[in-house]
Amino acid sequence: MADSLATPLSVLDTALILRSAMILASAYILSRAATALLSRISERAYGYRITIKMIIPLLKFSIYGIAIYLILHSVLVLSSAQALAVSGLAGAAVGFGLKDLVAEVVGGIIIVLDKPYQVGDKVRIGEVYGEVRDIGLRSTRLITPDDSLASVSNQLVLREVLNANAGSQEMMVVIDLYIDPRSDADLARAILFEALVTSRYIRLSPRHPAKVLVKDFPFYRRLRAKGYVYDLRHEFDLETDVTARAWLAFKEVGIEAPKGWAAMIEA
Amino acid sequence: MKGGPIYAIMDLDDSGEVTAHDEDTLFAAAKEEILRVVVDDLDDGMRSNLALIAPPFYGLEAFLDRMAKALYPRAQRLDGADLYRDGGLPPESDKSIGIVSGMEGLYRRRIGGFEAMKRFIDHVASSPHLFIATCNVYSWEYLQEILPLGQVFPLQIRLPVLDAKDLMEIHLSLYGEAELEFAIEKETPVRVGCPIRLGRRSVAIRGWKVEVPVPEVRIKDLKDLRPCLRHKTEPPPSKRVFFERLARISGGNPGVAEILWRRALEYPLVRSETLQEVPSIDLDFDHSFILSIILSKGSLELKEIAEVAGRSMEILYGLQRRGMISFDGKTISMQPEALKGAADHLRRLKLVV
Repeated sequence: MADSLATPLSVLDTALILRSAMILASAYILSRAATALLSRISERAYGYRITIKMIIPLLKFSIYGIAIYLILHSVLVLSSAQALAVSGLAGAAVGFGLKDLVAEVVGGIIIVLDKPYQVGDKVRIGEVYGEVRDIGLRSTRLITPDDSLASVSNQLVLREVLNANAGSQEMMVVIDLYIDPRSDADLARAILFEALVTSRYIRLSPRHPAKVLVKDFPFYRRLRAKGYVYDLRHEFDLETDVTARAWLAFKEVGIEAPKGWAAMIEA
Repeated sequence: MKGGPIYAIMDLDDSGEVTAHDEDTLFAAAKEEILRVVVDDLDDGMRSNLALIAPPFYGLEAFLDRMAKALYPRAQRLDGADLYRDGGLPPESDKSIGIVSGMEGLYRRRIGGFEAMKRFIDHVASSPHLFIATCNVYSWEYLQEILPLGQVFPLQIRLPVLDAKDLMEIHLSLYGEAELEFAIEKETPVRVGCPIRLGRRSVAIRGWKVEVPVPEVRIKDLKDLRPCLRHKTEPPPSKRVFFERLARISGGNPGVAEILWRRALEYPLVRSETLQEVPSIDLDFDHSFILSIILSKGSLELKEIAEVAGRSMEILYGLQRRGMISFDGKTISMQPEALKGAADHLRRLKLVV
């Protein structure tokens, strides 16, 4: 029994351990360096920022994949029968103890192959919304609107992902303003439209139109502006710019915020 | 110096705009065609308003002057900036043709800044008169997404960029065969004409434009096959080098090329060292936005910038220091030689189309 187990394994001497450690360390350094370099290039590449960032997780998976292959290749020397036995053992181990880890890694592989989102996208995964900063083997890291770094398990990608821009640098931003229902809707709509199309953050083209919709509710009127931000990092800048300028203009022409149901009934 | 066709003839007035002083211009043929199509249509009871769309400095002012002259006394000259001050409505007139220069002057990029343009569009749509207008291409692309400009100006002519050969033809048409001497600092030997060359073609792949090398066979150069195979080289003609550089720096804009040509010409010497390649531009977002506003107008007053972007003196100073704009305390203008670099940079940022 001892012989049969020793056969598929190389002699685990110090040199082998050192070699494996060096492979892992090199993979880590290479992956960090490649990530830093590509991130830097992407920031200078303007329109191709997200396209370049897409390469980063693919490259990291490849680097770590090669590193793991090299280590296993040094440690394990397997015949077909032995490979089958080891995979059976590994399967059992995974089934019992490492299933979450494996599900996360499988999720990571799906993200790289299927691309439900990429680095630079604005996504909602489960309860967390933010810009994808990094796609790791086990988790995806997002920067939330309040600048927090959130790590979300890659398992969630299989069921709970909403992608706001789908790999594009432009992204639709929806801005809701609520006004008193007795206000002039046409005037309010025209003002909000002009606030949107004159914003410095707006991207206007035949594929990226701007629009304002009006909907009445019992005690207020909702104006919904839809427009594309030219770079999704300016999502909240566009929202703030349009909202602030539109309210200033509303004030000048007497368009007011809803007063609440009590005031409405009184009126 | 001999009289030539096209707009060799263009001259610079005090404002730096290009004007024409000769009957034969680059636009002569275009003028005839426009008069034939648009004005004949008007006489037949049809009204097809025409927009001439070009980047700043293209020299459309000169063209409109000639159009107005050719159409006298039926035409009335109007100016976009003046119309903006008058609320967008042209003065009452019995002239049947309105020639409007600088339609981009009719709007401001701010809330309420499109009223004059809207009134003007309504007037053009409902008036029995014919309108021929020029517009800055960057303003046109922006306004098209907001207002029905294309519907009231169903005829649109986008002025093309010119290549080195066109520019050479234009500028040398006033001079004799060997009248000018071209001084080029450094001449790189080039291979003699080969019948098979590697050209570049732009290919669209899923919305991306990619330049790919494509072999091109030139039948007329077949006689050069042998020297080409022997790798025979010869210095490129100085003239050709000069005009290739002129076309590259001016972006094929004839007005900018004219300005650069005048700087280079010290009769009878043409100095190429005055043609400086514009280094690639790297501006932050605020600088880029202000630059896009200036580019879309060509030239505008400081108060207009203030209306659009608030207090921006430090940004204007930064752009001026980089040689992108000129600023005389009241009026801000693009620097002609910075036009191509600015447009390329803003296109990369998607701030202009």
